[in-house]
Amino acid sequence: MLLPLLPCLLGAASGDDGFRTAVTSREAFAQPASSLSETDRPVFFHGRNLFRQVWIVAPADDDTVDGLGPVYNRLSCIACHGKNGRGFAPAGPQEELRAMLVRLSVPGVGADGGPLPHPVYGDQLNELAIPGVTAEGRAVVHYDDHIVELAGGERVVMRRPVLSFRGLQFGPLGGDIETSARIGPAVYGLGLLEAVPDDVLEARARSHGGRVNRVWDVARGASAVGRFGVKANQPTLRQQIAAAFHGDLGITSTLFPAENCTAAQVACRQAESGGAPELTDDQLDAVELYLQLLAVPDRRDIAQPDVRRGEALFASFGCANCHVPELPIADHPRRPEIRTGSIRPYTDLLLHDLGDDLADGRPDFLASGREWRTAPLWGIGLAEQVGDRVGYLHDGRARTVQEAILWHGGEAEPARERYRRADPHERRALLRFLESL
Amino acid sequence: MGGELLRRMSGVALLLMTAAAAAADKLVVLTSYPEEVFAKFESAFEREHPDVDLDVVWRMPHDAAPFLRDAGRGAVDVYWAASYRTFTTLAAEGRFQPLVVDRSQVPGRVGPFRLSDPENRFEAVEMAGFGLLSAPRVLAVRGLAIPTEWSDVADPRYDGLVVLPVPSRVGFAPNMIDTILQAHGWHAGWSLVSRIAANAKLMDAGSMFLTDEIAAGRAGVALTIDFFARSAIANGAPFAFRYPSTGGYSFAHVAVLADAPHADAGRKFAAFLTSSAGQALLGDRDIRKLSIRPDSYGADAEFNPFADTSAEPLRYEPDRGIRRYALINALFDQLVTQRHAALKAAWHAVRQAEQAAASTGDAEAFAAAAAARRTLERLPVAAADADDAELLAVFDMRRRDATAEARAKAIETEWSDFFARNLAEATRQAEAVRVRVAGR
Repeated sequence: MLLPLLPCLLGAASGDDGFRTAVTSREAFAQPASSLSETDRPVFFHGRNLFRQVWIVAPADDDTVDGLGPVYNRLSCIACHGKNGRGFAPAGPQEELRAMLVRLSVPGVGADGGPLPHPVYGDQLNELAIPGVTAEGRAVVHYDDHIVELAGGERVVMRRPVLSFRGLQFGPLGGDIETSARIGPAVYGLGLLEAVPDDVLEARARSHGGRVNRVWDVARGASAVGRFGVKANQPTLRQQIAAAFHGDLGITSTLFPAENCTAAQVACRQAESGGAPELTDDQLDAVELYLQLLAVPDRRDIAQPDVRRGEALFASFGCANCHVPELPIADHPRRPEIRTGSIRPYTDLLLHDLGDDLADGRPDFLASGREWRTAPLWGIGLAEQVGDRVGYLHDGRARTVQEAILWHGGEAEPARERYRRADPHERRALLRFLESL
Repeated sequence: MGGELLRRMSGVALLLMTAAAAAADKLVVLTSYPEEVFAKFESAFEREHPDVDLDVVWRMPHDAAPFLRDAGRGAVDVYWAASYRTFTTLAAEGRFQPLVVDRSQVPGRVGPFRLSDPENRFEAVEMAGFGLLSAPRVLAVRGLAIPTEWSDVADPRYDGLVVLPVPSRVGFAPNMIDTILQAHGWHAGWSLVSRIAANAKLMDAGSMFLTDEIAAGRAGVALTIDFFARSAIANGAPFAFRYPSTGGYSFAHVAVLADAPHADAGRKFAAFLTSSAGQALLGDRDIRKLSIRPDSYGADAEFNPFADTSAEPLRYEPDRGIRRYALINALFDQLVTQRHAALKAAWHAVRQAEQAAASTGDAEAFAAAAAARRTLERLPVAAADADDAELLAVFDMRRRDATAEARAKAIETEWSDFFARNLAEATRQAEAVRVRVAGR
């Protein structure tokens, strides 16, 4: 029994030591940090089970996991984060949104300083509802294809999503509706991202560009630095989790205690609750710990010449200006496993203007409709190994990493153009580097 | 839409019109399958039937029947789950409508055993077998081979390496334990279970999975249902899985509710599940269940239960299992769960006594060691009583009837005293052998 105790005996390592996994199977994103203590182990697996739990319509005999809806998008967290990895966009209008949702708002600023929810449909289209309650409607994704030609003659088919709706049950959305389609992101390494100090982000923004989002911290009742979500619109992992339970599953928590029904949704408001709140603080603690302590895949093939060449090109093209390889972290206030050191997430966690092609036109706190948080790239090389289907970028429009690169605009346009004009060997090397992450 | 909005919406063009591809029909399916399973069937079904919008409602098997009798009544079209007991209960209440099944393709049987309802009120859609999941690397450290039979892991060399699920806490385990009992007989079967338990760490309904223990190297072999093992292997885990020759199966079924509001769509879904396309999904690396269609198995199939039954007939009777599973759970808890440390110690003492006796060739010591083993193997329930309708009813009804619960608790107290007495006695007998041999 010595082996399982080793992390305790040795103590937690610094930075991402103890948070990397050499597992490259389809379970690569589901590994506990090796520094996970024996004390936290049962909590970690409890959190894992809640993350995989299919939630139940209340009332139910299993009253610890009831309270789904009344309106919701999917029945479990894992539905949109398959194998803890990224989701995907529908292939076309004939397919439902299975790992994707659509945020809604109207022009203006909400009570917390974020987007102003639609008065009837709220801040997210909930496509499903429990029996006896009316679901809001369905989103449909069409694609308009266009071709981008790369140096050397390679032609890449790019698909631009075109969103429409059917079966809207509470009337039209209105001409001023703001929408933003989102696929589920990968969920490993989040505890490490949480440990990047605020002042590091602010200093980075001052010295290298990009913007810190300032968002609303519900627990503290105060403005805070945003770092989670594709617009960096959540300040803490705990709030990100609670918001997703609330918005995607219709599960209330102490952070979001009211059911996800607008005034116009009468049956929704009258539906039976699964408790007050439905997700207990202990359950939220467990899911939070689980996501904080999921290990990050170790890099592979780093000594390969093409990978090393690709890494150099990643820097020289300018990709690393925003996809910053290394960030410092401080001791995590609640997770002794996370200690001062450095991590290699390939993000600066800042907002950047990515141009018209990617813009959703939906401001979110300080983030404009053209701004997105730099996506962490660690583990991206295993995305297609882990997931049956995966998409890239916030709405999954990109089916490959190369397509994702080619959608970059705005501040990233120079880097994108260097990639597009690079010779095929260089492009291949850069992609090989990304595969090694 | 104004020019300003169009400019802001340039990334995701938006059409506010209602899409033309609206689904014409709706379908509500009640299930207890995990997301990885139902989502793949949902997706494939909707591809085949784009005119049907499928909504999934989830309930654990024990909560499905109350839901269908009450809140879900008239709102659910299809019940789809691995809970033979629930299907038989609901069918008896007249809650299902008959299905039309092509028996030339979907036999509804494996060898001598019926999978589906003889009145076609519910139909089998998949099977799962019980067996042994191993970590060859962990076993190799002790020089042990991959076990292939239940009896292999009762060998003292596997002491501390085995994971055994507790049947009263882990859904698939009652069926698995009764598979051993039916195959080996009541007394020999319990002896085997007891000896396996002596080598094992018990797994309840906590947060850890059997595969977690094996993956972490904290155990080398687990008694389990095949899809956990086969799916883990398909996802890259360095495990092995073997079906013992005395195996058994758990079945899952589908039924269309008698009061289904969308019965036509429900029948389409039921037909899809048993179709070649539906059955092919069972081979998905996240599902790994066994098909109920013989034509699903190619010559290179990893395992073919239809071929298997011709070579080694199954001995498990699922209806018998349903009748006595509550009794077996209770007996297991009194023999194993409630006194696991004492049981392990008693088997350790008896095994040591047997080794000591064997090493000396002392016939009296050998007989005394055998007597200790017989004491340890005593049961408070005779084989005939294990199928006694009155006794079975006490345990079956205990959750619903206070009188039955009181009677069940009284019986359990008697069993507890019985096992405590016999474990202590067996340990004393074994110790006497050890002392006798040491004194020679």
